Amino acid sequence: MNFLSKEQQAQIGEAISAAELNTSGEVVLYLCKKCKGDIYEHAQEVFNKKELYQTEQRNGVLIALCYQDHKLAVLGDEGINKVVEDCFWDDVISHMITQFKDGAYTDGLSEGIQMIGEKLKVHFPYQSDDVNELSNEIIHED
Amino acid sequence: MKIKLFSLILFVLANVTFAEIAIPKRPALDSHIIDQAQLFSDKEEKQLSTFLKQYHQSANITMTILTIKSLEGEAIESFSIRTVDEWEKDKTFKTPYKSDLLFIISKNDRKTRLEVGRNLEGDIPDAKAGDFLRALPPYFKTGDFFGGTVMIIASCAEASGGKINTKVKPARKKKKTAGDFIFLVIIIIVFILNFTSRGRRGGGIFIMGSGHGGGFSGGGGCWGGGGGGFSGGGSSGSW
Repeated sequence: MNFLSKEQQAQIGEAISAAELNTSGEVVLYLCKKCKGDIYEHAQEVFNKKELYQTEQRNGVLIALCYQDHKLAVLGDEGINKVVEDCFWDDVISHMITQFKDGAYTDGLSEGIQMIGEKLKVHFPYQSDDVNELSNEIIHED
Repeated sequence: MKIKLFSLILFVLANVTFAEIAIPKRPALDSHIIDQAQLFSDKEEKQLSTFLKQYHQSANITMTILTIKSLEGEAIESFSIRTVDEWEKDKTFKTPYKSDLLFIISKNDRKTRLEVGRNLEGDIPDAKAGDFLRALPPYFKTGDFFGGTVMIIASCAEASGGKINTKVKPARKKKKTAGDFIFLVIIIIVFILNFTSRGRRGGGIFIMGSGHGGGFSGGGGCWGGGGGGFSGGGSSGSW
């Protein structure tokens, strides 16, 4: 992947692990080069295709970033979407995009992931029997 | 704030100025499956063809199956009426197009519709068509478009004196119970909440189409929401 270096990927991976610490919630990052059409719809397809709804409390969150077309979407499944305030997803998006405009992709992504992690920790605190339901890997498609 | 306004404008535009999608060419006389969304394998398509033939031979009823990728914002009711109108006008073949039943699946919208020709309205009234479509989600949610479609053909055949050679059981009308009533109330509440609190782009809206005039009627359904897929909310933007 040319978009993010190994170090940057590792940094984002750590941000995801940190966001998932002490919460049953899950965060997945999807990266693509180009995206025909609406990124929001594309993200929904990815969400379903990768079966990110397979969490017990429906608290999977997908960040979809199309780096060549400069498009970004954040989706929260039913469980998390019910408990966050209406403007939360918009806030995350605008926060990340402010960073992206300066070319700070790693920071933007890490901070966005952190914002989501904070919500997950509040609403879906860690359960002792928690299993990591979705893998932490970053999904990348050309 | 800028982003919000921009996406709001985009959203409004997307809703108002959708381009009507092109109607596929009317089917040839001996073919009654148009699988634009590629939901069926070759083998499945042949099998469906056989069922449609058996249905035609046993009850003299012509049924067409049309799958499309997306409605591009158009209502499935309007698309299906446009399709039938267009095909009836089409003079590619000497024999005018006749479809007693038209079953439409729009893959990305997760919507279905069963158009019932006037001659069949006695056998398959709107309520019945609705029952058939309501039996679809268990199939479609797991990606079994073939099984669901066979079930619809079998249900129509059974209701109109046709016979097809399959073990798939036709849809059964469920007896209304107190549980159903409570379920309905919950759905209405969810529906209202969906509109009031989480208006923008929440998923999982329960939609049932209703029939209307013009020689055709039918029922619509959708298999979105609930267990089998994304049903939350979110946001998007660009920079």
